[in-house]
Amino acid sequence: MVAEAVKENKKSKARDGYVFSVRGKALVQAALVLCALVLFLAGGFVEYSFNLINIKLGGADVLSGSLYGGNVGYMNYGTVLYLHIPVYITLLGWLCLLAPLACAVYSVLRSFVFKKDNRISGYILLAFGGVCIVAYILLLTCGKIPATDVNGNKTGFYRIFEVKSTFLMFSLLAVFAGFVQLFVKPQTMLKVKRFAVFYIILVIPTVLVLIFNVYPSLLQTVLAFKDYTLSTGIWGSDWVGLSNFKYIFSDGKMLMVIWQTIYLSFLRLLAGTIPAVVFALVFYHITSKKYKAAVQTIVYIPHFFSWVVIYAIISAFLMPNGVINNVITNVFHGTPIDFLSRQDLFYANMILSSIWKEVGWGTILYTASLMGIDRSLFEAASIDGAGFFKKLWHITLPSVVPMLVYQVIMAVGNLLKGAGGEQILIFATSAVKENKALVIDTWLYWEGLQELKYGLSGAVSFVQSVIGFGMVVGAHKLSQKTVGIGAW
Amino acid sequence: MVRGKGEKIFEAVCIVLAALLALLCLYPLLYTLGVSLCSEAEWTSRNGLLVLFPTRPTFTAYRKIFGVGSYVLKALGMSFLRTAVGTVTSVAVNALVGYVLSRRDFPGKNKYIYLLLFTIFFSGGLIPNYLVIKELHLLNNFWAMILPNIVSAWNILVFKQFFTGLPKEIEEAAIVDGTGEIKLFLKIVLPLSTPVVASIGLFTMVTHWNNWFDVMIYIDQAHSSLWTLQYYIMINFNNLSQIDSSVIIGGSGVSQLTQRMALTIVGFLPILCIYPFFQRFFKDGVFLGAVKG
Repeated sequence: MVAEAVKENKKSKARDGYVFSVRGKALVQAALVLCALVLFLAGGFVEYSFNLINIKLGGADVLSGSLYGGNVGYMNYGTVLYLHIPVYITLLGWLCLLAPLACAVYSVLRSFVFKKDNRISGYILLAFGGVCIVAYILLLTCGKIPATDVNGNKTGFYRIFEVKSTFLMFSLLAVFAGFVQLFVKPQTMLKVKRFAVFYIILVIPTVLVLIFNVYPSLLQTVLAFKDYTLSTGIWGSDWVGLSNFKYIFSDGKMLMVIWQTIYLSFLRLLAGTIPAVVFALVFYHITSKKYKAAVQTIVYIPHFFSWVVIYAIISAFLMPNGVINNVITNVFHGTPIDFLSRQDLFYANMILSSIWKEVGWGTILYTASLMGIDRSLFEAASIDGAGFFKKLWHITLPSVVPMLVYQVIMAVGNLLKGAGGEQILIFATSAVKENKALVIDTWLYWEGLQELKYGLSGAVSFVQSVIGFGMVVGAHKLSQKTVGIGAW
Repeated sequence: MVRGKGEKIFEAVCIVLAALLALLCLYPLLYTLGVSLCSEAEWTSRNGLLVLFPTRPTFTAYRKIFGVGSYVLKALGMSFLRTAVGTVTSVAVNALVGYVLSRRDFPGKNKYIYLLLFTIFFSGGLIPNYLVIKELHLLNNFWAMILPNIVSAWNILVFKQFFTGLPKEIEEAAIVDGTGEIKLFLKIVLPLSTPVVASIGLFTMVTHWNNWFDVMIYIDQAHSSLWTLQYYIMINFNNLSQIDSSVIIGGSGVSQLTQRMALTIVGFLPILCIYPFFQRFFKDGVFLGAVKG
């Protein structure tokens, strides 16, 4: 009797939990769909822009326009003109309103009335989201989709219309809602409820990441395959296939830029590792802890200064009226040297100043690995008759090798980004701006941004990040295999 | 440990080398200070050969750059504002996300970490970022310097690592007691995490203080009230900037160089002021995680 009652109780509890979970899931799905619909209706859907006429259309505009025969009126210098919205856009608009809404309503009804989970709405949402994303890509890329501009001329859709990024967000939300419906087990919903506040916390960072990381990556990919002109904007510019990439890898100047990036990165790798290892060893062999701490405190300081400040400090020494030149002219009666403007000294200035800035800080990592040496090894070696240099060679040095290898490998992975564009932008003079100072990062600023070479810039940063990604992952694997230190 | 003669000599060499390096790092800073305090009369009488400090230091250069209607004061204020707002928002958001991701049974945790890893590898380049800021109408807006810098995947991962290392019992006890998740974080987890919060906070502060690139890209000359001090110093020194830096004029008892050095001192003094606080975290393990990031 008792056992049965307990069993019954358990069963009903499980059922209640299940019902609660299913309802919760349906509500989450409905909430996501609702957010998506608000984004779609009130936010942007498509934007018409051609010949200085800009019309932003939200989902609500498109839908209400379809009730007036697919036209949207707008004011142009006091007269009302009409823009014809292509039929497929109207259809897509209605689909976007009805499909997710139907799914959400179905889920909610089914869970509240029949207390049951359903998979069908999940499938539909996924399929719908997929269709939206495909439509998004097709509308933005395919030149054969016809559309009519305000003057009645037939042209390609993407030349005059732009599907807004909010539509992509909308599609992704729909896909996400589908995922929730399909792949979240009802049991997990209890946890989800417990962590509800966490999901709310994650909303802000997620939105920031989508806007400031994911979307720019998408834009960059699009730009890489476009011939950007200011008048047509990003989305209306011509698709040019791989010609931007071909240009990068065939044009003499671009190749020089890439070569100099790699060259400077390599120089920086040498400048960043060798002095740091040497001074880590120097610090390691100092027995007085207080003295060591005092020195370390001082040498870390320059790392925290900006390149602007470093340049300012250095200029006090190297400018024509700086201290070194004052010594040259007044003590040795020589002629002053304008160190900072000399083309042949440009790399030397940069590398030496970056050694000055980073050498102290660079020792930290190696000091950490030196601290890991077991001191008894030295004593054992001494007993075995090993001299000082033998111990240095066989015990001390090998302990920094893994960290050194790790640093080198990661720097190789970062070869296209490690040229130090920020420093160059400050150190460059007009004499070197056209030749020695050109690396990928500075090229992006001086030519890409200032001369509006957006398409080419997109391709350059695309190459930079894709090759960079491949190399970092490769480097990570290699580093793990050889020295056992991964990048993450 | 028995030490041979060779080792003693080697240590002596090391001590000298370390002292030289320390001197090399310290001298330029002191020299900059010295020049900034030097009057023009003394500068010319010494033929510009100042060893360290002038015999009769003068604060004229500082008075001049901070004079009435000075850009420097405004820029300094803007730098402080930017650093404060940027650090607070960034640390708050990253710590919370790090905490959320440190909870082992949080559904969706791993997928979110993948999203963060994506941001480490793929960020739009300079131009897409610029276009996004432009599209959001954030050009010449204070928030253009803040919003894109809030989420930092590395910092989140450092936070996550630290929070994961905290004893699990605390968490469990709090759940049994019925403490809410937010309260648990604010009242129990956060007080245990001062080292990581402080070190990430200080790093973020330094990054914001030192950043001038965002200003150069997003803020134009017509909105120079939004310029931060670093950018201001940059256009005063950079040979390529076409902007006329009208504040620094010769004459009036101090040379142009002296005024520039005074500006430089103002540019790095706040960093030196918070530097001692960094030191406390050098010993802690969290620091290494932050360095590696």
